[in-house]
Amino acid sequence: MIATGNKPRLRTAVRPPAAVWVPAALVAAAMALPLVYLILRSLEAGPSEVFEVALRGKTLAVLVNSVVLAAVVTAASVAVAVPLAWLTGRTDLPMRRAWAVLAALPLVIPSYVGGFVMVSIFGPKGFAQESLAPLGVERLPEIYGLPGAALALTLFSYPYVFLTVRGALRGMDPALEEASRGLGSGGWTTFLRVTLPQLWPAIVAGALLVALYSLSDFGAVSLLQFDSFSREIYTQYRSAFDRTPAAILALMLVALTATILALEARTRGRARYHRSSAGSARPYSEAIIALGRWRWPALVFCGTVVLLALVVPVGVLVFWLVRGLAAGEPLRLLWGAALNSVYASGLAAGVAALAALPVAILAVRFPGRATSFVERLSYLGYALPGIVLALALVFFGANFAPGLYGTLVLLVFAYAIHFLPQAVGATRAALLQVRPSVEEAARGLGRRPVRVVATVTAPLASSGILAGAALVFLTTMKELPATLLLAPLGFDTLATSIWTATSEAFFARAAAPALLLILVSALPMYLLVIRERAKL
Amino acid sequence: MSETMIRIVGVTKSFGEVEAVRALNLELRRGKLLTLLGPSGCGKTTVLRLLAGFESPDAGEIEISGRLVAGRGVNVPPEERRVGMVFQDYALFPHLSVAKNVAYGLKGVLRGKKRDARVAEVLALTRLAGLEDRMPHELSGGQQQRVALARALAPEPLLVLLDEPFSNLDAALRAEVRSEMREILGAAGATAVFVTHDQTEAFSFADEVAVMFDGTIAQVAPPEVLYHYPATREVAEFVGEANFVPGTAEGGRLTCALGEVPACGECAGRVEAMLRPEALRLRALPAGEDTKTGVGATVLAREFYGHDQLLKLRLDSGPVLCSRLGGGPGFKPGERVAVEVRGHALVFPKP
Repeated sequence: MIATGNKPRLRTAVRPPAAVWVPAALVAAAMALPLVYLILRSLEAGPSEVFEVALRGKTLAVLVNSVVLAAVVTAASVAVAVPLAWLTGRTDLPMRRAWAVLAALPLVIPSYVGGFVMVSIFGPKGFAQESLAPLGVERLPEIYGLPGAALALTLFSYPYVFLTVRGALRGMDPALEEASRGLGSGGWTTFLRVTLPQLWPAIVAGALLVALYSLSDFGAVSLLQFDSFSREIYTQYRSAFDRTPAAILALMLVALTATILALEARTRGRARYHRSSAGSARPYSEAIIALGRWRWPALVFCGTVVLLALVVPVGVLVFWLVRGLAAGEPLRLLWGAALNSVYASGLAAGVAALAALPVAILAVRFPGRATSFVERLSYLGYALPGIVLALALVFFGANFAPGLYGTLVLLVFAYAIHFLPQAVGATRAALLQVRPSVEEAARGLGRRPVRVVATVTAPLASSGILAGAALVFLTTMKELPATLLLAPLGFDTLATSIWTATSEAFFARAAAPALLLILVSALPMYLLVIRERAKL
Repeated sequence: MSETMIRIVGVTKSFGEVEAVRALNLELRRGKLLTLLGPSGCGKTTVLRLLAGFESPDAGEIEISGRLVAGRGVNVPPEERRVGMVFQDYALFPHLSVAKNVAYGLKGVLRGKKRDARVAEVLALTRLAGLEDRMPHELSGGQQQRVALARALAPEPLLVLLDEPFSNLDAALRAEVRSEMREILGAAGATAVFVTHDQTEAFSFADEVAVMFDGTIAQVAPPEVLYHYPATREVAEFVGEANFVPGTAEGGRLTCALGEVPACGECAGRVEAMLRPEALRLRALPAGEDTKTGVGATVLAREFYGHDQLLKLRLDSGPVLCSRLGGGPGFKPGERVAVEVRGHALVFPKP
């Protein structure tokens, strides 16, 4: 609901307590670290070299490619995710809980696994072509390039939008929709005029994650040979001793991200979305919409998405595993790598969730120029491609903190910086649903600001905070480039095992760790859904 | 212990261009219930939030129970003010049960059995015994209201603030909850400030009423004084129906369209006189008969409320006035009446 109380509460009048702004400022400073290195590194080149790299034809083509890819993937993800969230969250779709789990699960499939699945189905001599050849089909449409990369990225990143939108739907007060119906609006009008505007912050938060993910993805674009920024940066880094062009390209990518963030900020507006009505919200489960005969098209829609994004990829992996075993490939025990993955990802999720809380509180409760700057900074890590972030930290570690270089601390730091925006986005959306008067009541009852956060704000926003932590955990499990560069010597994770195998085209060898990675990271996803069964 | 619970001196608070509170002064003695009454947007909620510490004044000082809490470089945070607030939307913690909501403010104040005992005591006081384990969304509006009050009272605050606490209740429940709350606050011996824009609510709830317009207090007085001796014409109109007639005052007598009437008020000469509708008594005037006492008038309209009724009259000399009678048969529109004044008129200087 848009709170239009008769007393405007101009919160800018209250300064944030030190317990909030000091940690938030520290987080912001940490976030700025890699970017500062990047700028210094680019400045080492003269202006002529900077312009030479930035304005050559290849760079401009890469720029256009990246923008097109991000736009296509974001639009397609929203188009898939919003109906899915609504169907599984607010209608009587048969087995909607199961559909919700299945629709969220593609998040656990890493883009490089998705890319290799695409190639092995639609590529030359792939499953599709081999099974269609007897029917006289000689050639399939080209999978390499934009179509393949966009398809793969959409299928495995739409759950970002799905989860944030579903969370917002669950937190919504059904009375708002009822009020709209009572005011004479039909179901469809109500959805457009009341439900959708309520969901807007969640849609934008999710879409922002998808757009940033598409821009920084490395695995899928590499395997599907699409020249986006991150692939070009990696190529530059690998093929030349001079790291300066890579730094300049990376800086351009940061500028692109900054543009997207600025556009996002303009859509946010001044509306507030916490409930302003009296009493307590009824649980959303009371407001279930009957689909009637529309349930069949709805089931077909959900089925198609789950088939493409989950069943087919897992099926292909199982196929490779079985074929590899049949060919005598030994099934290696991967428990060491799995434990390493879980350990590092768990640490990263905890650190990111803790770091996100002060930033989100600052952004939601104390809006202003300084706080929105801090919030924007917190998005930076995600905008830096993993490979660039890793390079920056390698440099930083080698020059300023040799004790940390090559340790788990630096790796977890990189993960936390990289995936903090996910935690901030989810926490922010959850905080928007917590009424400020509830926090004021706690202060009036004698609790200091930090205790208020611990006893009231955090528990009320806990579903959002947990969702954020789980997202960080999942994406860290899949993270590849930073792991490749920053992991301590001999610290193999599932991601690095898969990459080593696929880059040498040992698909059968990659299948076992890929399946294990998917299985292990499915667990926190399940925890997210258990939360739904509990009250809220 | 100071006998003065609240002392606000010259407090000003602006939000950007808007001056919500302007050089406001207010005092309240311990154990009293004060209502801040004013139209919406007059700054009354801001005064409450300044007292609670959710806003800090741009200028001026605030003392609570003799302790400076804001001004002169001091700004005591809300958690250290010992002020209990009951919010308009109740602001119950939706993740905590009734008992835990009430116990929230007792952490660090009382422990173990003592805390449980205090929770039980406050729940009994607010007639919530038996609902300890309910969640806020499982309660009715009136019950949620009492939980909000119980939670505010539990830590034995110096001062209880209530921000339009009845505005979310339906009319039938409102009067009942209001008298309940008054009893509870009385039994707790609390000093309370209550914000409302409803004059009936303000009068029936409070020992003293402060009327606020445009960020300043126009008058503070007990309800009956405020009603019969409003300080300004604006206050007179805000706290009930009022008739205004021009006239001449001299030595406690007013000469106006209603004849010669006893008057009180500071001014003399050409004045504006205020008469409450109850002060106008009516007598039926058969057709053709002349008035022996009082002045002649014609009934224009009638609003019947049950316990009383309001009649709109036009005096033969022109002015339109309003009279309140008991719930009896009364008069019909078109009937002729004779109007007499009982009591006195209050005179204001001519604007």
